Amino acid sequence: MTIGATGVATMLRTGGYDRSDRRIAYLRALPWWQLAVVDAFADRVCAADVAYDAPGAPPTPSEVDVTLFVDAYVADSAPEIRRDLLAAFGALEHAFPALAGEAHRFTALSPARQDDVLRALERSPIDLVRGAFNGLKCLVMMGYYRDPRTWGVLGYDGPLVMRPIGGWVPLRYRSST
Amino acid sequence: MIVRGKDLASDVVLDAPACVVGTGAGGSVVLRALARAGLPAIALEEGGDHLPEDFNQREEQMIPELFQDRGGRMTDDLAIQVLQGRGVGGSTIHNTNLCKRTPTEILELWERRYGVVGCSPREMDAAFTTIERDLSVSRIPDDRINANNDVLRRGIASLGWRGGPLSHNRIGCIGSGFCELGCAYDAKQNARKVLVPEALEKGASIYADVRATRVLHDGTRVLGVEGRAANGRKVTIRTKVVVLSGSAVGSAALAIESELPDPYQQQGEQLHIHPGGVVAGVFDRPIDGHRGIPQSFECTEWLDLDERSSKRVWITTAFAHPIGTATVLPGFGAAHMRAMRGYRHLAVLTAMLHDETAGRVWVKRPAGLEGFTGRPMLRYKMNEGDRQQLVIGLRACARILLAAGAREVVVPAIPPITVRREADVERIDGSVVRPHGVPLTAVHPMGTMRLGEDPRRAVVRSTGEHHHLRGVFVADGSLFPTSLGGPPQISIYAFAEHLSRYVVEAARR
Repeated sequence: MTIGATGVATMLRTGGYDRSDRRIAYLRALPWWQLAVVDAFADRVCAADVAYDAPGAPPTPSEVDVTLFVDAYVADSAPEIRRDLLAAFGALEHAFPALAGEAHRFTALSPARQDDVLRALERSPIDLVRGAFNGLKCLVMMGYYRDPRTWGVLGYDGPLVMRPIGGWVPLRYRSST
Repeated sequence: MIVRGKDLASDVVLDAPACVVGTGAGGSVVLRALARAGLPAIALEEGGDHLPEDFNQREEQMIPELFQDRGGRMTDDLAIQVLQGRGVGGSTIHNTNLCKRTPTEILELWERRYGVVGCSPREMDAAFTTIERDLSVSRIPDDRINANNDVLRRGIASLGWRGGPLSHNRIGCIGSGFCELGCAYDAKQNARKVLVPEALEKGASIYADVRATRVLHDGTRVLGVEGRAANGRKVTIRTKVVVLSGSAVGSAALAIESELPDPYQQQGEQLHIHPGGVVAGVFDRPIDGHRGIPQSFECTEWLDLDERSSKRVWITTAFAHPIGTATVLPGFGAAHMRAMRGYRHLAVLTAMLHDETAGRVWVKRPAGLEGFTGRPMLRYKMNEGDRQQLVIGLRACARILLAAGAREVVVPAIPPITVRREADVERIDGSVVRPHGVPLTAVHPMGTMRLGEDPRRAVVRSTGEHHHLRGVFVADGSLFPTSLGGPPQISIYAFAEHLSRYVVEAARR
């Protein structure tokens, strides 16, 4: 009975995700099904303020490999921190949507409804929920703004040491500044 | 010599006249004093040994390397980020080099209220003078004040408020602005550059990448220290003198984890963290606060260090590179990115509290992760008095920015508060300083292993030696009975210098 219930729970938790994603082979910490969760979260948290094909548009989170950065960061963290971070991404997918009145998991929601969930987390009356949101937000922001291709949006000229000739920022991203 | 723990091929057992745990401002001074006395001690350092050529000015690489918990250390309610260093040199590797002596009012308060003896302003003067000379402390010249700090200077001048330039310990600074990621130009006159080399030359050893896991003792005297290298090798130092210099968090956690005698349950208590909140001003012209010396000016209009003062806010500038900025700006998605586009036009101030809130360091032993040592945790619930002070501080920052010509001022609360004129400043109220209401950062943990002659209220005597365990000393920010109301590095260096004579005496006895 217990084994059966565990099997159903596992199927519900991990069913319906794309197992063919080539990045799965490179994962060091995230369970394979959380690739989609981190992708979706990063897409909303780091969403651009202009269309991605517009002049001066920033790169997408997937173009700068935010999710694999998150995986590496989690893998290199102390065991208890790693466990907390993985649990937070799991809660984002399976538990937090309910706080915004959603019956579906995070990755199954439309972008607009995902934003509603994130706003609910950001303003949650529960301290730890707000804290968890901030922690995950910081992690994907680190993964996004670490990439020189995002710096043109800010007009940030990057490190002085080892700066390549012509700067870190490709010219196409400089037109906006 | 510096041994890299990750290179150890086998477990190590060593004898030494003393073992110093942590090599930041406190530990490096004691290590040098012991070496000068012909007592070649061994230091265990949790982090690695980083040299200027290692600092590549990349946030995502340097922050995890140089900060505790890979930059993710938080209070246990996840409300306040606590930035603390790790590595040979400790936080002096990544700090912004602010140099202020322990204020006279604070030293007198410790003597009067906390039973600290032998540490009056007159008695501490020699230690301050020595440290300031060794670290080449000097006032930051006016022509090195960058645009962000000039906003603070002009703002308080316009308001008629009190403030002035700060002092630092840099020589040959090129103004890259990457201080918080380690100085690639070796301009910081920090513990790694100034103090550690002499200690090593005179026979001291440092085991880097080795985390001290337990102080060995029999309940009345210390027997040694056990540590674990990054590669899992065990390091044991047999000694009769142990100096805890792993910060107000690390030293307290190690004392608790080691079950040092603590009949009055004082270890880890009375944690102060000097928490700060930021306010950003948006200017029409570029400020480029990430360039130049990050912090060179202060406002002391709202700081009165007398007991029962109603002014407990120290204001200085704050600025960050892109990742740091992105994590502090409120919201997410398109609105957040629009705010990020204003990066070059932001001037940012921070209001740091001379806090009275008494937090606590405790140790979490992870269930289900057998074999791992406890993890230091910080409990800190800001009290009502400090919350009111934070509101005063955020309002003062807003007024300074407006007076300096900011087009608008933003408090990064959820939701953000935007202020465009003086009359709107009162909209910054107590509602923003609830946990997670506004991002708070603490970079100056203090207390937890406090000085004082009364063992019911203090953990160590005025000599720095543990009240209940002979041979254990403390030499870091955990010594301080109260917050300092300002940056602590010079106080930590100087107290270590002042108390190191007692460590030397103990190592000789």
